[in-house]
Amino acid sequence: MKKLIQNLSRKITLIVVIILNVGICQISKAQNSIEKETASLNLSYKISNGIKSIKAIVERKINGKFLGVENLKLNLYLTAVKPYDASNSEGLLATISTNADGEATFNFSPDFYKKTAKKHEFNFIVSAISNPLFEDISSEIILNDYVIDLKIAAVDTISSATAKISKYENEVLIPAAEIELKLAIKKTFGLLPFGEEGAVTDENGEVMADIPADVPGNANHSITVVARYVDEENGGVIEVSKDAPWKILPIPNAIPERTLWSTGHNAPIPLVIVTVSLITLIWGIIIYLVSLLIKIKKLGNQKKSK
Amino acid sequence: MSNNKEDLEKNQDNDSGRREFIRLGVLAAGLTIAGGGLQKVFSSEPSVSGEKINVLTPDGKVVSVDASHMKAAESCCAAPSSEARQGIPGKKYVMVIDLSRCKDAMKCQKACQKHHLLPSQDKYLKVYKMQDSPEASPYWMPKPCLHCDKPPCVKVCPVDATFKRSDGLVLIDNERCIGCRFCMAACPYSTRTFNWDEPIQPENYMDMEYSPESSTPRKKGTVEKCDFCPDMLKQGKLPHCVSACPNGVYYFGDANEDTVCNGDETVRFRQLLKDKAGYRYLEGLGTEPSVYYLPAVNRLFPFEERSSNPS
Amino acid sequence: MKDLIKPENETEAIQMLHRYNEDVLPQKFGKAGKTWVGILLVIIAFGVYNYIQQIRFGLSVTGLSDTVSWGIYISNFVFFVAVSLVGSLITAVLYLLNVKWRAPLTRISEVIAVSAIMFAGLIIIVDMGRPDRVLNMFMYGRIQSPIVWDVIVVMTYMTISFLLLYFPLLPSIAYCRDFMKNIPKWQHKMYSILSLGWKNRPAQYKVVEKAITILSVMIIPVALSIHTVTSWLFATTYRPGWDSTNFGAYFVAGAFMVGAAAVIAAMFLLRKFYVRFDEYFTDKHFDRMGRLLVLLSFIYLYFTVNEYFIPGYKMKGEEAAHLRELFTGIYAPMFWSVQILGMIVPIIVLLFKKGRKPFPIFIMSVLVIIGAWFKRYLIVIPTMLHPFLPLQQVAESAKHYSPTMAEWSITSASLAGALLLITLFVRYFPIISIWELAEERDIPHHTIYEHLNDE
Repeated sequence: MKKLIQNLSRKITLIVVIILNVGICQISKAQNSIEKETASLNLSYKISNGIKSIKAIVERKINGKFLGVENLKLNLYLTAVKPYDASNSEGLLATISTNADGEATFNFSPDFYKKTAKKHEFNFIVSAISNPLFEDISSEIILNDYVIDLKIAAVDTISSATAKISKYENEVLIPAAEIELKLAIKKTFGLLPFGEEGAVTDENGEVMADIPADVPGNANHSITVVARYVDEENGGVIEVSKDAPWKILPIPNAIPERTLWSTGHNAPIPLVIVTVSLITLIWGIIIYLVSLLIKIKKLGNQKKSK
Repeated sequence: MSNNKEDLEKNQDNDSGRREFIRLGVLAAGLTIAGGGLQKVFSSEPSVSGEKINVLTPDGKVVSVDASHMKAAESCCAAPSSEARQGIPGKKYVMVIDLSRCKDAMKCQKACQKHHLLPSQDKYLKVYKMQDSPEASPYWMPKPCLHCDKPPCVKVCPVDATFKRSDGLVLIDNERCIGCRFCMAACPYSTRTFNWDEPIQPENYMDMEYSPESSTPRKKGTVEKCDFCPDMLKQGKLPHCVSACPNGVYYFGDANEDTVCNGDETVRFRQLLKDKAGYRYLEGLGTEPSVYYLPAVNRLFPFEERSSNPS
Repeated sequence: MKDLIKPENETEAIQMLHRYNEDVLPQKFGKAGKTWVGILLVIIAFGVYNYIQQIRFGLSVTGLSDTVSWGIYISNFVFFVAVSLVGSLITAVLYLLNVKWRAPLTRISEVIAVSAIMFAGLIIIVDMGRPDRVLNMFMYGRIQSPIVWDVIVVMTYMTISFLLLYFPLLPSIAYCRDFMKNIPKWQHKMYSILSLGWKNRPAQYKVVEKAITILSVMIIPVALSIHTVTSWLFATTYRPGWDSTNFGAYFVAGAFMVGAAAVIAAMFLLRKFYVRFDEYFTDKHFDRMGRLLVLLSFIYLYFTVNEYFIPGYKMKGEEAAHLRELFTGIYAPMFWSVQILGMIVPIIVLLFKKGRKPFPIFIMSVLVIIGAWFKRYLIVIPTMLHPFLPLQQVAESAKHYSPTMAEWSITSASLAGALLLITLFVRYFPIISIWELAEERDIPHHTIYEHLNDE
C-alpha cells in the first residue's frame, strides 16, 4: 500500500498532488500539541524609479541562530488593520507567503498607484495572525514619498550627474536639503559610488559629481547611473537610475586559444601533429607486423616447393 | 478521499510522508510564492541529530523535521553538464581577499559547507594560519579554489571533465570524471577533494539532475572543489562565502567591468590592487590565479589562535 | 664465448637439437608447482574479493585521503612499468648489440615484460574512482593530458612486447603441436591454432627474422617513452619532490636495473625447478647478467645522487620539508634501507666474481626487486604529504598514509597475477627458444627444419 501510494503520488498531476499533500500534512503528529513559537518581523521599503515595494523578513531563533521562517502567510494593510475599503483604499491590501529565506516582498498594483496618487505618506502594517506555529506578530512602517530627479550632462569628455531630491510637505514638493544623497554606477554585484564621499544636498536639494571617465560601461555602449537616498529613520531606500551613452566598453574576454589547458578539441596544433604522426608511424608498423603473421600462415599453407 | 486518508495514516511513516511533502512542497511553493525567491527543500536523509524542528508547509500546516535536514538548495539556476561549459557571456570573475580584515570567523566556510551539502571532512574553502617568517606575526588566509587562468588541474585532465570557462571559472563535470585524481596531484593549492565513498546527502537530491554549476548532487568516486557558486552569479548574487563574511574580507566581481563588491562596498578592482599592493599566492608558479590577496597589514583584528578544532 | 658447445657436424647438430627440444618441452606441474599455483590463486582470490568491496564502498576502503590521493596502487603501477622494461633490454638492446649469450634469456624476459605491462594496465583501472567510466578515456581523450599519453604508450608497448614474444615463439609452438604426446585435446588444439600453420619453411623463418629486427628497433624508443611518460605523471606537477627534470632518466635507469634483476631471479628459479636448464642458464649467464646489473646499478646510483644530492644541497623552501622527512624523518629508515640494501650492497657484492655465482646473485636480485618496489613507494607517497600549503583543517587520518589491508591485498593480487601468468606460460610453452639457441651455436636453419620435418 505504501509503495502504491508513493508510486501514485510520484506520477500524479500537480493539483491532485497538492490535495494529497494536504491529507498527509493533516495526519502529522506535530500538529497535535505545539507550543507556539515567537518570530521576529522586520520591514523595509524601497522606491525604485517611482515603484514602491515593502519587504518583510521573518526570522526565528533556533539554537542561537536566526533562521528564516518559510511559508508564513503575511497580510499587508494600509493605515488600519481591517478589510479592504474601496472608498479610501485602506485596509487589507495583499496576502503572501514568505520564501525559504523568510522573505516576502509586496509589490503594488497599478490600481493602487492610481488610487493613492495624491497620498505622499503611507503607514503600512504587516501582520501574521492565527498561525498554528507562531504567536501573532505585527509591525508597522512609514513610507515617505521622496522624489529624486537625476540628470546626466556631458561637457566635452567629462560627464557629470546631478541629482535633486524633493519631499512633499502639505502636498507641495519642496527640495530636501542637508540629505546624504549618493551617486553611483550600477554594476553586477553592487553600486560603485562616485563623487565626494558623504556629500549632502545643498539648499536646492542637489548633489553633483563627475562620473569617472575610465569606468567601463555596459556592453551596449551605456552606463547606468543611480542616485540613492537611504531613509534610515524609517528603514527604506529611495533610488532613481538613468542610462547614459558611454564610450568605454567592458574589457572583452580573450578569444579562446589552443592551449594546454583548453578542451581536447582545442589542443595546440604542434602537439596534435607530433602525437598523431608518432601514433600513425608506430601503429602503421604494428599493422604491417600483424600482416606478416598472416603471411606466415599463408606460407605454411603453400605446398613444399622443391 | 477519507478512506485514502486513513490508509495513508496507517502506512505512511513520518519519513516518507515528509518526502512527499518536500517533493510537492517545492512545486506548490513555486506556484504560490509571489516573491520569486529560492525554494528551500527539506531532505529526508537518515536522522542525524535527532532534534526535531516544526516548520510550516506551503498551505500553512505544521510538520516537524529533523534539524539536520534544514538545508537549502538552489536548483533554479544551475545548468546541466551539457550547458555548463559555456561561461556567463562577457564576464571574467575575480576575487580579492583582504587578509587585513580576516579574523577567522569561519562564516564563509560554514555558508559554503551548508550550500554545497558538504560533510565536515570535505571543505571547498579553508582558512589557513599562515606565517611568512618566524619573526612575522601569523595571519589568517582564506583559500577557495583560485580559478587559475592557466589551471594546472585542467591541463592534466584526461577526459575534459574539468574545464576552464570563458568567464574564468574552473568547474568539474562529475558525470564525466573518471576519478583518476591527477588533477588533485597537479593542483599546487590543495584545493580539490575526492568523494572516497558514497556521499551522504539528502535523498531528494539524488533525483536532481547533476550540475557543474552547483556541484550537486555529489557523486561517488569523483573530484570536487569550490565552484564560485555560478548558480548565484547567474542571479547577479555574490557567492555564499562572500555574502556570509561579517568583516568584508571577500571582494568579488567582474574584472571586465573593473569592479568588485564585498556585499557592503563596491570598489574599482584594479585601483584596489594598486592601492593595497594586491598579490597572488605563489605567483611564481605561473598559474595566474583569479583570486588576489591584499597583504595582512594594518589589521582590523589582532591575531588570535583558533580556540577549538573546527573540524 | 668459449664454453659454447658447437656441433662438429650435421649429425651432431641434429642430435643436439633433438635433445634441446626435449629438454625444454613444457612439463606438468609437480607438487611444488601445484602448491605455488595454489598459493597464487588464493592471493588473487582474496584480492578480487577486496576489489569487489572497493567497487561497492568506493576508494574509502583504502588508506588514501585528499592529502595522499595516490598510494600504493600508483607506486605498484610504476613498479610494473619498470619491470616491463626488461623485455626491451634483453631482447632488443642485446639483440642489436649482437650479444652471443642472450638467446636463452630472451623469451623469459619477454614473458616478464608482457605480464608486467598487462598488470600495470589493470592496476591503474583499480586505482580509478569510476572504473565504469574507463571508456571516457577513448570517447573524450584529451591529448594534452600525460595520462592519455601514458595510456597510448602502455597499449603500444603491450602490443609490441606481445608481438616480440609471439614471433619467435611460433616455431616452438609448432614443435609442441607436432611432438608433444599425451596431452589433452584442448592443449593440442591451442598449439595448432597458435602456431599459425608453422611448417619450418625457410621463407617463414625469413619473415620471423625480419619481424624481430623491426620490433627490436621499434621497441627501444617505445620502451623508453613508456617509462619516461610514466615519470611525467609526476614531473608535470608542481609538487616539491616531483618537480624534477631528472625524472625521466631517473625512472628509466631504475627500470633497467629492476628489470635485469627480475630476469636473474627468474633464471635462478627456472634452473632450480627444471634441473636440465642448467645447461642453458649457465654460471656464465649469471656472471654476465651480474656484470650488467652492476653497470645498470651504477647508472641508477648516478641519477639517484643527482635526484637527491642537488636539491639536498640547496634545501629549497618547500622541498626541504620533504627531503628532511626522507633523510632523517619518519621515512628515513625506509629511504636508507632502500638505498643501501637495494643498491649499494648489490653493487658491492656483484663487483666480486664470487658474488656473481648463481645463489648470491639471486639474493642480490631479490634485494634489488624489493628495494625497487619500496623505492617507488618513496617516490609517490612522501611527496604527497608535503604540499605547498600546510596541512590544516584536515582530519588526523589525512596527515599520514598507511595502506589498508584491502590495498595490500589488491596490490599483492596484482603481483601474484603477474607471477601466475609467467608460471602458466612456463607450464604450457617452451621457455627457451631453441631455434635462436641453434642460431647462437651456428646451426644453420636448413638443419633445423630438415631435422624437424624429417622426424
